[in-house]
Amino acid sequence: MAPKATDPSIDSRPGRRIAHLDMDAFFASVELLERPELKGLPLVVGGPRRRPGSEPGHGMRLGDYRGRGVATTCTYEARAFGVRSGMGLMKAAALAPEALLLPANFEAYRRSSAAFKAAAVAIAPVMEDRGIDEIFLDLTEVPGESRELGMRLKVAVREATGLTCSVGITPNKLLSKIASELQKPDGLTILSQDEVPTRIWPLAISVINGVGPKAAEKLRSLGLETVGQVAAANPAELIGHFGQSYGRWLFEAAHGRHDSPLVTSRDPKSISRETTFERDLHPKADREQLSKILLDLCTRLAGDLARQHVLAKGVGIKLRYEDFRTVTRDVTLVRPSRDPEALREAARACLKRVDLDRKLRLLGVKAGTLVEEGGFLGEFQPGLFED
Amino acid sequence: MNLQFQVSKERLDRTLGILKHALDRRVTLPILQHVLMDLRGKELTLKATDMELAFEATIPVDGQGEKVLAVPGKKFIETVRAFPEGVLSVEVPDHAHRLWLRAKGMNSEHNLQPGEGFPELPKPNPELPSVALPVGKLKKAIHLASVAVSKDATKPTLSAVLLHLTKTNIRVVSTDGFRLAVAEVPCETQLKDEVRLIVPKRALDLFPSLLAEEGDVVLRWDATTLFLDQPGLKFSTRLVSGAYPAYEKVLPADLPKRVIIDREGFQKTLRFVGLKKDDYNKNVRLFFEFPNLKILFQHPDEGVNQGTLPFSGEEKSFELAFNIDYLTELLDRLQGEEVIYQFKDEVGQGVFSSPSIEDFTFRYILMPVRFANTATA
Repeated sequence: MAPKATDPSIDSRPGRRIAHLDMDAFFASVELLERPELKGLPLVVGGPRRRPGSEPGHGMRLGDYRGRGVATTCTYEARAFGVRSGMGLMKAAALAPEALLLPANFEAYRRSSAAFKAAAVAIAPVMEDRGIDEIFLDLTEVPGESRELGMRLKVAVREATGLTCSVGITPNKLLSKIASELQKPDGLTILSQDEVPTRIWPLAISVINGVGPKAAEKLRSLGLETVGQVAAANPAELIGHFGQSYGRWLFEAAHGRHDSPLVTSRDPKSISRETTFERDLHPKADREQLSKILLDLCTRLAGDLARQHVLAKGVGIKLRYEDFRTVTRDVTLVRPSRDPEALREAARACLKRVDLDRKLRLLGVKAGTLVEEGGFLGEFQPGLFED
Repeated sequence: MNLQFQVSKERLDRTLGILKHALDRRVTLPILQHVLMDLRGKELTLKATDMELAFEATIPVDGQGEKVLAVPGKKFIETVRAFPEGVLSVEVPDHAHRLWLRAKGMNSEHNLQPGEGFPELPKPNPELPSVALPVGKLKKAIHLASVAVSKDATKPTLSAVLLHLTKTNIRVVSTDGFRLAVAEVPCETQLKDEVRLIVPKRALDLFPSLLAEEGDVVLRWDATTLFLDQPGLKFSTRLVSGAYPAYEKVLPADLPKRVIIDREGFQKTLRFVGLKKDDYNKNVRLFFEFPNLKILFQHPDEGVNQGTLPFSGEEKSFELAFNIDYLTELLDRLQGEEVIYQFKDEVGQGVFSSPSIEDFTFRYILMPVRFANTATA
């Protein structure tokens, strides 16, 4: 058994082995499972949503796209043109007009996500869920050599989903996140602390998760472009430029030192759904269309709540106007619910409290203050092993 | 010299039918989609593994020579099955990387891979601890006691089955955290210390088809693997690592009250009232008003289904509520005319059992659902 850490925010066990498992071009790869004939082509996933249960369809030429959607993900072939996840589709179209644009199929992605996580925890039960396509696993207590475990993880994920992933295994989360990127796709990288100077220090400082574009730019202006240069910098100077907390963290991170533990449970305090419209919509002129969008968001939100077996005690809305100004409003429900109609009624109540005289870019609905299902009804299934 | 041997189609088919459970269809290691064939004189050894399960079976053949080769498993198994009963001729021409199956005018060609890339299968050290268990009872115990295995694949220990070996018995245990199934088969294990082996349900589900009908089966294990050795067939499965819940703590000791219900009537009534259930509404209420048991399922939108049947036992009225699936899944596996529920009160866990099970004990511990607006709250 691992010794119990006195400070839960620190895991300093000797011999820690943390794996970062990152699915390769996850959404695009799931699409390719359904449409293997598209393999090798530049594909971009994004734009209009595909309805659950609908046929895959044929997609469209990216160059023919008109709208404001963003690329949810893209294949490595599309990345070769400079397309990146999160890039506006019009910009992506300028880079790769012949790429194929496919609508996102989130139901399929969720299924594959659940399957790869289940396969991974069957091998290493301590998992930190980092989102739909990446997880951290604690291998410290799992028997077996790191390379063997890495291979087992990759095989299990492939078996469960038909997809490849890249795995980095190192003494901590920070290094593992970098390591999993080093040999993408379908990579397995194992790094020890001793290899940080040779393998990590030559890399650009932006490889460190937590060093964003602004911090990287500021470091560059100080003549610090690589991880090694930051590691060799005077920590007092870093603290001087970046403050006590971030400056110290930068120095430690550049040395590959990071002792944050895996966060194995993250109870959601809220769940939200939002959509950016293809064109700006006016609350009055486009009332019918907005009404449909609101119902669709509430229905999907209700589905999210049902899947997590929770009910919302609060409902909120988020609006973004055409000038990018964003407002939010919240209401508390009389009784917790996940009924789409109840969510919509609450969202409408919120909408009455905002100005609706301008065009809108985005609408979002949030379910907040979540409670376990049954709890409010006074009807619940107690566990056998609870005290 | 060409390699050639004859083998009983029925024997080869039966053996491959077992090995197919360890064939991988979607793995990054293509060799795991193959069956390894190792011919040594009059014996053909067949191996398959997906790195969790591993099989090694030996069958007699009529031929000679020595060769190790890997044949793509799925098509080979399907093809062998399609051949007519009788003797099957297997030929491997020199340097051809092909295998031919021939019988009664039918020929089938299969690609071969060299056998070198096939992984070594786990082998039990002869000094490993072992126990001999009565096959018949073990099969029944596994069938009943695996009923409470969790369907949540993110909980690897709960989605497996515990084999808890003590000096005087073996317990087969499963739990999903809300119910617990425990079958206890008496046997002298000769073990000094108790042993807990967490076996993937997938592996345990294969036991009935792997084990003979009677006699004993010998289990061996090390820290990571469980080995099962049957005449002509070696099987191993990786064990699930982790701590199994301390199930003994929730085995209720003092259960003064009990009711006896006709199993088939109970099962039919639950099926009827359960027509109202959906993914989010699964709770069924049982009103015991001697001598009648009223079973009521109330769906908030769909309305009520209700049924009544007689029971014997506790005469003071009381009410219980359960997840209906937890009851029907049990009753689908139980045999016999009656089912017994023993309990202390309406909120604590009670125990279902069947008087028709004679050669081992079986307990199904179930936590009632609580309703705030009733006395059970």
